[in-house]
Amino acid sequence: MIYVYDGTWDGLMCLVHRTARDQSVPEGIVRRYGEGDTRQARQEILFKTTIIENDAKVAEATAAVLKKRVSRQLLSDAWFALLSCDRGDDRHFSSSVDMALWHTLERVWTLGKRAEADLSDEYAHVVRKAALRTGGEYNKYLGVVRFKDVGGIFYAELEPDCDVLALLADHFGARLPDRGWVLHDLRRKKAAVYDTKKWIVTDMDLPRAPSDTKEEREIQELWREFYRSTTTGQRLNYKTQRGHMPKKYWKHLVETPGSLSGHRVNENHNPLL
Amino acid sequence: MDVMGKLSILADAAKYDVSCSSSGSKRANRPGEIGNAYFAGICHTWTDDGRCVSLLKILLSNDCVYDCAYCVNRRSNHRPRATFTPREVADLTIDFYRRNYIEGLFLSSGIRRSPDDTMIDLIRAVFILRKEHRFNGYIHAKTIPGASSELIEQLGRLVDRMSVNIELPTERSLGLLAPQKTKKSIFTPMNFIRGRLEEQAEEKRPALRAPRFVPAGQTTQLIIGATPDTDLSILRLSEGLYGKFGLKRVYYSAYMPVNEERNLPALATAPPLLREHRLYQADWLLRYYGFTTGEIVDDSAPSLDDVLDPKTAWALRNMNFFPLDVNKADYEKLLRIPGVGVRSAKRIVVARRSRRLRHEDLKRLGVVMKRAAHFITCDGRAEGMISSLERLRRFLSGKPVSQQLLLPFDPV
Repeated sequence: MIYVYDGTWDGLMCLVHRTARDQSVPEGIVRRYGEGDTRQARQEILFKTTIIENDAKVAEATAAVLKKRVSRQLLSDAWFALLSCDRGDDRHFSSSVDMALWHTLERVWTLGKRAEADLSDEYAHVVRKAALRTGGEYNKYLGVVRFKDVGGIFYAELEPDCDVLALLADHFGARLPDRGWVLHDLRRKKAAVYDTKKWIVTDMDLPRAPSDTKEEREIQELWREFYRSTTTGQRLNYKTQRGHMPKKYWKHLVETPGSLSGHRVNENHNPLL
Repeated sequence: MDVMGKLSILADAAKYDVSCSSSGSKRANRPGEIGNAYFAGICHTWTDDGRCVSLLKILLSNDCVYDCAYCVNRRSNHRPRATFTPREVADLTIDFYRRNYIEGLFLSSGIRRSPDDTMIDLIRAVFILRKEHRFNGYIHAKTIPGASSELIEQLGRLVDRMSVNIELPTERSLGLLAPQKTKKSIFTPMNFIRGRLEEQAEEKRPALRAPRFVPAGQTTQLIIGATPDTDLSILRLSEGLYGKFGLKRVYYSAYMPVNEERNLPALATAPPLLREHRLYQADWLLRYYGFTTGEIVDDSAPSLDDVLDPKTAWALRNMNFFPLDVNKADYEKLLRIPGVGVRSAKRIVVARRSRRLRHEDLKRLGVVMKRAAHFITCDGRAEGMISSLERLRRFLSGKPVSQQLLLPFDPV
C-alpha cells in the first residue's frame, strides 16, 4: 500500500494513526502537492494507494500519545526531518525520508524509548541526517538573511532547500520585534509576514523585488566597504569560504564573496580552480 | 571625513584581531528593545580569507601613542588616521543589525592620549548603543591595557565579552616589541575581570535587574611567529589562562608582517598558517579532550608536528595505550582515539547501551575510520591493516604506503 499525505506534521500524525489502525506497513509514502502534481497520478495507476485526509482531532490525539512514547530529541528530529524535504525529493517512494520517519516512529512506538539509543539503526540514521540538513540550513540562514528597508518594513528574500521559513520567523520575531518584516521564500512562493505583534505564513509571489531607496543603497555600500576592508589579503582562502558558505547562499547577499576586489568571480575563469 | 572613509580605515585596522565569536551570552529581547543574544553565536558571512564575520569589528580610532613594533597602527607608521565619534559607531551598528548583517559590535581602539581617555570613549559608544538605541545584541569590547578598574567595571556592565590582548607570550618579547606595554599593565585588568566574575558567581541571590558583568567571559589573543617563542611556552601560557584566569578562549593569530623592523620577520614572510592551525588543534585538546600541555609538547620536543595533528602524534607516541575496545573504554579514553571527536565519543557511549558496536557501525556514528581503525577493536576484533609503527606514521601523514615498502631492502 502506498500512502499519500500532504507533507505537514498533522498529515504525518494522521498517517501514523491510519497505519496503526490498519495494522499495515506502507510500501511507500508520497507527498501530495496540490493539483497538477503528476507523480501522484502516476503512482495511483501502478499501485494501490490510500490518500490520507487531514483531521485535526486525530492529529492532535496521535501527537499527544507520541509525545509520551518518544523523547523530545526524536520529536524535534522528526519535525526537522519533515521540513528537510524539498518538493523535488525524487527518491523512490519506498526509500524516502518520509518512509524512514515512519519506520523510526513505529519502531520506537512499539519497542519503547530504549530503542532510540540505537544510533546505528539505518532508518534512524536517515532521519538524523535529514534533521541535520534542516538544522544546518536553518543555522546558515540565521546569518545570511539580508533585510532591506522598504519604507519602514524590512524585507528579505531567500531560497532555502529545506522549509525553514517558520523556524526563521520564530527567530526574527524574538529578535526584531519592533518593526514589521517579511521573509519571502521565493522557491516555495510563500512568506512569513510580521506586523510587530505576530507572524503568519502566507502565499506570496511578487512580480519583482521592491527597489532600494537612496538611503538603503548607502547603507548597503557601507556594508560592502566593511566586508572588503575586514578581509586579510595575505591569507586568502576561497576554499574555506565556500566550505562555510556554499555558493547557493550568495545570491541574496549584499556583499560579494569570492573576489577581494568586490567583483563576482566568474566560475569559468577563476584562476584558483 | 565621512563615515564611509572612516569605516574603510578603521575596519582595515581592526582586522588583525582574529576573535569574532558572538557566543556565550543568552539574553531574551524585552519589550521596546532591539535584538537578543543567541547563545551559540551566529556567523553572518565569510570573507575571502575564509574567516567568519559575526560582529562589526572596528576600531574607534587608529590614532595611537604607543609604538608597538608588530602593530600596523604604531605611532611611527605613516598611515591615514581616523576616529569615529561614539554616536557614529552606535548608529552604524544599529543600521547593520536591523538588516541582519551582524550579530553585534566588536569595538577596540588605538590608544589616544591615555588609556583612560580611550576607555571613556569606548564606554560612551557602548552606552549610546545600550541605553539610547536600547540595543540588546552582542557586544565585545577590548579593555585598554593600563585602564583604571572603575572604567573596566563600567564597561563590563554594558558588554557581553571583554578581552585584553597579551599578544606576546613572554615578558622578554614584550619588552622587545612593545616597550610601552608591560606584563603588569596587561594582567592587571585581566585579573580584575577574573575577580569580578568570581565574585558574581558566588553571589547567592544575584540582583534580578542589575546587568551582569561580562556574561560571556573574557578572552585574549597571542601573536604567533613574530618572536622565537616555542609552541611549548605558548601552550603552557594558554593552559594557565584557561585554568587560573578562567578565560573562555585564547586566540592565536599568525603574524603578518606589516612593518619593516629589525626584531621582526621580513615583510615578505608568509604568515605561519599551519602553525596557527596546529596550535588551535592543541588548544582544543586542552579544553575539550582532557589533555595537558605536557602530553602534547615537552622540553625535548617543544614544537608541534607539522605533518601530524597533535592528537595523532600523541597516539603514535603512546601506542601502549591502544588498542581500545570501543564497547568498553570509558568516555575519557574514547576521546583520545584519533578520528573520534567529542560528538562521536558521546554517540558511542549512547549507542553501545542498546547493542554491541561493530566496525561498520562506527562510521555512521561519525567516527573517521581512516584514522581510528588503527587504534581500536570491537569486541576484540581489530581492523587496522598496517603492520609497523613507521608505516602507520607514513599512512597517517598522508604519504603513500605502497606494497613495495614490504620488500626487505626498502630503506623505510
